[in-house]
Amino acid sequence: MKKLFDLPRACFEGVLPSMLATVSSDGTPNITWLSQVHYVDERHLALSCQFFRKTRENLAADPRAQALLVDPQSFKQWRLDLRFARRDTSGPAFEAMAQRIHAMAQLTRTEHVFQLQSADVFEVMMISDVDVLVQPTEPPARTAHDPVHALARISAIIASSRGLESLLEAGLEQLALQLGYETLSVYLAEQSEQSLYALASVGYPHSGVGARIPYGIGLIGMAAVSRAPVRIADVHRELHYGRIVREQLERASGEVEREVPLPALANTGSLLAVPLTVDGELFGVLSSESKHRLAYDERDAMVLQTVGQLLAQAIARAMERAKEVGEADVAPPAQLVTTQPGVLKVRYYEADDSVFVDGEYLIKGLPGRILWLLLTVRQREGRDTFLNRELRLHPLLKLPSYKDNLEARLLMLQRRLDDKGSSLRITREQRGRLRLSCERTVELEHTPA
Amino acid sequence: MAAQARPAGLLHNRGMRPASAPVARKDVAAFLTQGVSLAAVTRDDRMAVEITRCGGARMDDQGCVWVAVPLPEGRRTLFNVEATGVFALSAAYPLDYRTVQLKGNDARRVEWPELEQVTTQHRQRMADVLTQLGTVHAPFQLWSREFAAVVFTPSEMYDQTPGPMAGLALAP
Repeated sequence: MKKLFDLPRACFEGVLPSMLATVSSDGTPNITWLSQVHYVDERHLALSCQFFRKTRENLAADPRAQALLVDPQSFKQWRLDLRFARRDTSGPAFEAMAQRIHAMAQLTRTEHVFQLQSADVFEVMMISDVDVLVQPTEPPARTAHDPVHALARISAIIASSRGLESLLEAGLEQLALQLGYETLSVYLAEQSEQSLYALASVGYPHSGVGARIPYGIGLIGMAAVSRAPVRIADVHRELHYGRIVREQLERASGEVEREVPLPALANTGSLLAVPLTVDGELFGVLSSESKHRLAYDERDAMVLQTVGQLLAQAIARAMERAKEVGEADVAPPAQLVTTQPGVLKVRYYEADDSVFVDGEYLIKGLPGRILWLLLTVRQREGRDTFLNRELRLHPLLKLPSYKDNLEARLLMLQRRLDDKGSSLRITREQRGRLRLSCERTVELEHTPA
Repeated sequence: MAAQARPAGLLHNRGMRPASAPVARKDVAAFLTQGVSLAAVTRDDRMAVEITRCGGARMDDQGCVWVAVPLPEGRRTLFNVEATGVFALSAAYPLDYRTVQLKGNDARRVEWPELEQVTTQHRQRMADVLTQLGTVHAPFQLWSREFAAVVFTPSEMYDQTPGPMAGLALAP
């Protein structure tokens, strides 16, 4: 007899809905569409019970049922004769299904509708092929990428990288190349703001560096909160990912957010986000998007998490190293040079630490506060060179004494200014020291909270 | 049998969220023509159920529902119809999850002159709908091209759109 593990795993991705049929005590059949079928083991599967009023009644009277599953790649189908076994409201199957339902609800803004009541576990009694007389579509061949080779390559990159910037650039590029991913982005956790900031990305039309996403919002925010991978096999079925995340951001704050656009593809097919932890604490999220449906399977989640952890440890070490170097420096002499006529107007809104340059939104939150501090000191003291150490100790920034991630925040700020093509530029001529230059005279305006 | 043409009021909600209003009973005929996913469930005399995807369905002016059951995968469905006459049909609109289920106990196999026209039209309309979801090939792969026709009189109709109203009987 065919076993459950003989079926393609794509059957369990929810791309094409499955169905469940039961029969009532008076012999009336009932059919319902399933948002999720979860593989439990070779003889059991679990179905998401969300709105199964009639199905529940029927199963109480007769535990027999039939499910129809379909492989979304080949369109092959199977009928599964089932026997209801138990109703789980906790445990691995329930947790995995609840997380997936929550992820889909986040995409569709239907959290109030899609709530998992239980994972209904069925024993699989028999599996039969559905004999459809059409030529089945063969699943598209996927380029095989050897994860061990990718791990070895990433290891080598980490071992030879000098500094945070080269580590991020080479690390992400090699990761995408070795694993065959179209895009990758790394987000850094900012505990004080309960948010993630995009630190670097590859494969996107715009880098999105500096984009902020609150914990729990969107799939990336969910990966941060749940500390578990989030995988959506077919985003085409839902609204465009970036648009939805943006709407959620607006909804969460009750107003239209001034935000850096998230790094996003125009037509996302599938998405994978894995949390990164260092020393047992959330460090960030690594995510990948593809234009194709079903681009990531369970193995991808494991591989991305493993190599992501390697990268996260290396980024954390690079940030700590930069901090140690900075401690030994002394304050540089003052000097301020402008080479172009005209005035650059910079406005700072204290309420959310947002910074606008010549009327255009640049950044907000802690990176915004850092930039504002640099600008005010630059203007007050007539110097454009700063020590990381003085920033680290400055009361305005309120950085934690341990693991302040300053180096990463400065890199994010530097890249965001580069992305915007701003006259303001941050350069790092040596470790522990940065320069904030502007070819024009800078005029500062402060809007208090 | 002539398929009933009614205003496509069901298509007004084209958003991706579940429709806030359930499908009204009077709109079911039009709903069935809109490229919906169709699944039938029957049972044998020992209460064993059988699911089959269907290739088209229409409601006529008398309220009877005509269903295209594909073959060979629908063989057992036809046996069950002959043995018990019990039939349930669920129709779901893939873009917004609006779903109805119609149940009857007088199902019988019939000749349906419009069978080929309806199944061709259904496949094309479903392809149009699924193009928006990136799964355009589904209606060309999920059921066979040979069909038998079954007709039944719905004695019960339910809204199955996901949400708190799921499972409630449709208002007349």
